[in-house]
Amino acid sequence: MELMDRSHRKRVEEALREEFGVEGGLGEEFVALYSSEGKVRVTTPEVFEVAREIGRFESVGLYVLKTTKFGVYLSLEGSQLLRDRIRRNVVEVDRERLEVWMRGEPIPLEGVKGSVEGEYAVVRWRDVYAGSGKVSKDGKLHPQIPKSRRLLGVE
Amino acid sequence: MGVDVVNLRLSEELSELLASIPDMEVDEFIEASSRPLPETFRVNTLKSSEDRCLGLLMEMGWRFERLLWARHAYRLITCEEGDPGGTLAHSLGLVYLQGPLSMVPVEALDPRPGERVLDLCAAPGSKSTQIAQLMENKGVLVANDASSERIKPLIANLQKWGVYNCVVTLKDGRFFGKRTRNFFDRVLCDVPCSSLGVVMKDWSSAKTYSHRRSERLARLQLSLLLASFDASSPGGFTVYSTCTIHPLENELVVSELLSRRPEAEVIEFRLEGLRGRRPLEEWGRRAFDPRVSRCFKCYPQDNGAEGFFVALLRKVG
Ligand SMILES: C[S@@+](CC[C@H](N)C(=O)[O-])C[C@H]1O[C@@H](n2cnc3c(N)ncnc32)[C@H](O)[C@@H]1O
Repeated sequence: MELMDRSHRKRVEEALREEFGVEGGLGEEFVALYSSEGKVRVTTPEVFEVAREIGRFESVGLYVLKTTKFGVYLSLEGSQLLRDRIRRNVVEVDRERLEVWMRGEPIPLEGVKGSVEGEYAVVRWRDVYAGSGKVSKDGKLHPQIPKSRRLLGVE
Repeated sequence: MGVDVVNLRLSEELSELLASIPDMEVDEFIEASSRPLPETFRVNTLKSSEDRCLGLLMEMGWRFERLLWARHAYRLITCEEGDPGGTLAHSLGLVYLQGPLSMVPVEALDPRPGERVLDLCAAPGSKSTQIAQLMENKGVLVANDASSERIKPLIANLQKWGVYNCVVTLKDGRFFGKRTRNFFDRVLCDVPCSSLGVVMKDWSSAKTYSHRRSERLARLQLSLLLASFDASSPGGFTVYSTCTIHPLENELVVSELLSRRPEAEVIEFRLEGLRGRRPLEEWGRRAFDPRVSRCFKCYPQDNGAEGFFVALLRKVG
């Protein structure tokens, strides 16, 4: 796990602004760390300092987003953390659709509140933000819910 | 689901142990250990406000009542599915399912925002998430465990709970006594134990009980408690907890710590609505330090839930 350098962080924050209208980046109060598979975590400088003093650690802070060739995906907790600064591409779903989303299945965007410009959108139910996904050509939003987090469907 | 143990025979060794504990009502213990645990949970105040979380839960069909002795905690009456672990609220990380007595050690520790806190035996993270919640994500939480298998659910649970002020380490807890001496404001030492207070969750702890294993555990527990205490700062607090009823793993371990660390004092604490009983003064020809009587102890029959032992210690200085 490495501290992100300034230019890398700037690129990620730029993508956040473009995709979701997030101003202020990941937050001044946080240091950003780059871990495997393009995953970005945030924590406070104080926590990172203690982690370094201890030496070897398994994980630090919160996983907030994943960078890919095509764009940035917000994790459930990342979208919840940044929720007050997400200005664009938020779709408000009902509980049934949120359940489908949390099962890791794509949801149709037809009939949801909120508009999507571009390819990415964050899902929201009430004040719960549930991560972001990518829109497919047939107008569905595809989630990136890790398997371990998925709601199991009724067989 | 509880385990029907009423018709199961106790092993001879376990029967002997229960009979040797002077304040143990054996029949009541067996009866209470055969009932399912009350289902209790905490709501996630790191992701939303408590009121909002409760509102969402009500909307999802949850019914509950407050648990008196822990903050943000409730007893479940019903929820949308039979199993709260399979619900939307659970997968979103709005609730953490945790036994009612399992919330006591962190309430005794009482971590505050901005402090440095160590959870020495943290996996799978019930108490770490509770600590992070009371710290309001401010300060530093080091969550450690020695098991490489159990560390994964610990990391996953901290993530789901929205904790960003944490470091997770995979170390033998004894590392911290020397390497981070006097460093932490509060340390939780929730040790591996014979688990005889949670037989209703897992009957195997009763089946595998052996006196020799408890003796071995007691040695490990003492070394983990010494490391925890050493890692706490002067004026800082350490909580020692087990989910067993065994005097060797409870009263004896704290008594030994007191004899080896003269700067340790035991602080009595009370939590609303909780029934406890006085720890033993002696057992099996061993007399314990009289200050051990200030610890909290309960058996499953006392609250119709888990049996726990919790000591709140302070380093004078
Ligand atoms: C009672 S469980 C902890 C439960 C945890 N505090 C919670 O609330 O979810 C005890 C833990 O101690 C860990 N453990 C065992 N030996 C250890 C050691 N030497 N150092 C640190 N952790 C150890 C086990 O892997 C186990 O996860």
